[in-house]
Amino acid sequence: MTLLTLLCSWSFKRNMLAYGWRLICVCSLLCCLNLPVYAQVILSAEQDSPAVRNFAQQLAQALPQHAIHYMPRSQLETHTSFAEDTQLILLGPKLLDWRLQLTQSAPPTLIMQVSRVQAHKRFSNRQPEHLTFLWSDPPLDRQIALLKAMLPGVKHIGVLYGDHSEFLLKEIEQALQAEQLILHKYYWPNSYDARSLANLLNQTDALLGVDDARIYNPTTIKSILLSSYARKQSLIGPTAAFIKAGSLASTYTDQDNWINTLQKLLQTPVNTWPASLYPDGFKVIVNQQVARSLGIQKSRPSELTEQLQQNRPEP
Amino acid sequence: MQRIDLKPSRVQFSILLPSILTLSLSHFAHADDLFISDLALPEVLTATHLYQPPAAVPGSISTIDQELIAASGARNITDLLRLVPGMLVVPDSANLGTVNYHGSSPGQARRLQVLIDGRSVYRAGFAQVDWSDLPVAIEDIQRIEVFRGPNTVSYGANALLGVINIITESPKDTHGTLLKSTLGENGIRDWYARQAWHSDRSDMRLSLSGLADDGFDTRTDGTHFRDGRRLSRFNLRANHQLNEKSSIDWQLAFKEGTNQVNNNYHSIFANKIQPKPSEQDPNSDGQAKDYAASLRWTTAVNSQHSLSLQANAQQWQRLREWRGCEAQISFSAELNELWDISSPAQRAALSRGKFFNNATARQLDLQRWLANALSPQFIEHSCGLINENSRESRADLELQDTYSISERLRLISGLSYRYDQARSKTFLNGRQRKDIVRGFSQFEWYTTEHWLLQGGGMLEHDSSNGDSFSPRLAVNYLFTPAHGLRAVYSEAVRSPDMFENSADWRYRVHDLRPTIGQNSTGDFFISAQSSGKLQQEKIRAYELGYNGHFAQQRISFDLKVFEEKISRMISHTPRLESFNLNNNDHIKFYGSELEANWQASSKDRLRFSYAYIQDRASNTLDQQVTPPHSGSFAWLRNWENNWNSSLMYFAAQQLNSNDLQLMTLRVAKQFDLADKRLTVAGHLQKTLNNQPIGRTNNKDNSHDTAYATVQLEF
Repeated sequence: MTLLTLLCSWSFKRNMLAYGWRLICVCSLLCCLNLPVYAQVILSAEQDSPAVRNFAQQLAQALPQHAIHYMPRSQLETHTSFAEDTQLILLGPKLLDWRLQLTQSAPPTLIMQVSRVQAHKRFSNRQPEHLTFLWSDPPLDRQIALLKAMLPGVKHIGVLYGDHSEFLLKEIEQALQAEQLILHKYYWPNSYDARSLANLLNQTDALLGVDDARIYNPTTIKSILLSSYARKQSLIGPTAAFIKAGSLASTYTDQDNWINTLQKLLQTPVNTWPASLYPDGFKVIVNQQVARSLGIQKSRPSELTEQLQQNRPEP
Repeated sequence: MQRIDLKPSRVQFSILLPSILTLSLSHFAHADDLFISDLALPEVLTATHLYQPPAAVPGSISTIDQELIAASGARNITDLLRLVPGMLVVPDSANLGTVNYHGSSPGQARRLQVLIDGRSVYRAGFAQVDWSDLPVAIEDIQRIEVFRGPNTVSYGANALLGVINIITESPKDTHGTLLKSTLGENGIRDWYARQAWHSDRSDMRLSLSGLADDGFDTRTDGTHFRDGRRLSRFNLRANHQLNEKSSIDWQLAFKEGTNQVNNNYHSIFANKIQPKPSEQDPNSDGQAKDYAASLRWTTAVNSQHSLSLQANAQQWQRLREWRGCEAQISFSAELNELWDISSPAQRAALSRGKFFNNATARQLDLQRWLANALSPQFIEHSCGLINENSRESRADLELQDTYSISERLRLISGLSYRYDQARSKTFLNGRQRKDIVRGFSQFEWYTTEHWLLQGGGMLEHDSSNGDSFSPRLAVNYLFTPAHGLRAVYSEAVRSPDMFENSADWRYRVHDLRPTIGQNSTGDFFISAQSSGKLQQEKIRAYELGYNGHFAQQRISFDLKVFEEKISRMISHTPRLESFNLNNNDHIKFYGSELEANWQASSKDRLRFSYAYIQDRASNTLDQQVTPPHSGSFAWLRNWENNWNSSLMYFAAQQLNSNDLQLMTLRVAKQFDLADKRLTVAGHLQKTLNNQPIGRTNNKDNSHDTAYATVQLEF
């Protein structure tokens, strides 16, 4: 639209009062009105960082026709109302909390860097309208597909869960059953309780991590990994961050995948935005040294990514 | 000990192979990706924590895991070792089991290194492993790893034929309480109690246990076999996490008990004396006490470099004293002198009660004196206390350094010092001691994605046996990380133990009744001394093997062919009257071994082991020991409703002169009572071929027994 306006003003200057040109410009402007009207997009994150600004910049480059601005959180939080055509992209649970405080449903908001467990903790199953969640946790069926691809012989899958992740169990069980795997769930609210972990591991062949910070965190990961590794069992997930610690593998969505996802989403009308989604694009990350130690045959991330993408059910 | 050569780091994530390198880098190039959060997670499974995959091991390893241990229902560690191909388990008596790998006389089972949590437990002075007296309860064992083949490079002298690594449960895996009791035939009365606690950074486990049984029913001749045992144990193990990088693990273990032994003292002048039964003890039971303490400090310098320091102190006390009767002349100065000045051949004649020719003038005089003393139909006797007491101790310190020099090359090096001491008036005429200093280094080098070269050596200085160097070189070809071929050459040594090297074996009998003259103490005339010139035994071993794991089918197996030659071998049955040890013997083993494990379904596990071994032994003691065919089969099944069963079958053709066909059956039911778990199990052990096990004193079917176990966990 901006380009056309410029074009028009240039035309006016060059052909002062030329009626024909005026007609063309009016027609052009009318045409423009029929094109989608792209809103102002405000992106904000819990913490200001070069990485966030870089992300905003890359997103703006990917969507040149959108007006995408990065706004630091402190500045954003002073707003109580926004222009009508504003859309928000908010990163992190604290901004979700802030957004939940706003009484009005506008502006339409995309929530990122919030996991299903974090969202569930805030509003259980009563998800607010006008918020679209782009889940940060890897989708469980994708994780299970990865587990199946890397550990073809396993049957009994252990899942440690807490109060906030209990709601995922049914879904996990169904997804495991679809792959002919058996779920062994273990309520593990107390991470000191290493014996429960040992008992679980005595029944299982591998562990599937759920992205619940009460279960998987810097304090607990050591005992989970040492106990499972001592029994030659792998942990899949809960997220890519745990691979460095010694988890075998995880699927994850990187910045490029997210930009592709946002690109598609922001170009569709707001009223078609889903309540939540997992991005289509993903990659696989593998801890090669753990894979080697456990004698895992298929451990190349590119091959695994390709295999998982090929086997993905049609939407 | 065997760990893989991989290195983690933030950017170069475990990159061994160029192809993976590119991939890994491409994935960790996004390490500052906004969407891959860095949660400040510790690197837990670093290169120093990771074990080699089975296909990359420079040798063959059998693992007896906790599921197998529980399913076996075994009360003795030796019974578990029957699951290992090539492992020869022969019970001399019920309280004295022997374990050998491939062969050599059961009476000299001292060619295996046995470790409990890294602490070498073969006796300091007599080099044997008293399996029944180890201060560890079977319930405390997390797994047993058996390295089948020489491994002096990693474990020092005595790892001549193999290494048995007993690894106990980590305190933090055993939080809570466990109570267990076993009752059964043959006086089986076992109990076990365990409690484990934790605090913020520490975990601690205390276990107390006891074991009692009457041993085998009868001896070969049908008489009662007095080989029962009663023992109790204390074990305390703790782990403290000092900080993110360092931890301390310590352990205290104590065992005390009594092992029954018949009074097998037979007077050399038996037909000349008439002792009354009341004058001597019918039995000569032994008291065994084992004390052990160990401390291990581990620290990760960084993710490529770690250090560990382990210190151990141990004591073995074996006390056995009993009253026996002997002719008074046995304690005479004359007979002592005659023995001392006689050659081995002359001594052999004397000990058979015969006079010898080619005697010197003095020997002739003394023989005449003896003939005169023996002229009455019966001669005077005295009865006194004979003892075979010994107290052995060991202190050792080992520093180990694991360093990943590059992504493809890792070094494990170390230094250790060990002090061994043994005191025994009877066997050593006092105290013997030795110092051992060792330095070792091993490398693991992935030359390509498929080729792995591993080698190393150990230099050992033994103050009583001199210096030795033991090398090993192995090449593994890995088709995939789960399938590999290997070729291994290794050398190893075994130092003669203190008794072999420095025996001064003599019986000083106390409290003689009646006294001889004014003396209530007398030196029995037969004694034996070691030449002190023994050399180390040496083995050269070649192995070709294949190890594979089929993940989809859940089958893993290991196949190897081997040839082992032990030279300068010391073969003997220690006999007081004919004690002449030398390095003149040799033995050669060759054959093949197979071990397979198949998780046939989610409820069924099958395990199979088989060994074909041929031996060529120069000494008759070592012949007819090795079974040409031996093996085991195990079927573990989980039935519905928390029922499970295990059936194990062990067979060997001519294991130490007798065929072995042993079957064990265990049926267990678990009840879940709120937060408690109750397990009730019945166990049956039966020999199927009516033959005793090995060339031992036990009669056929003596091994048959049934017992039941109740276990409560909360």
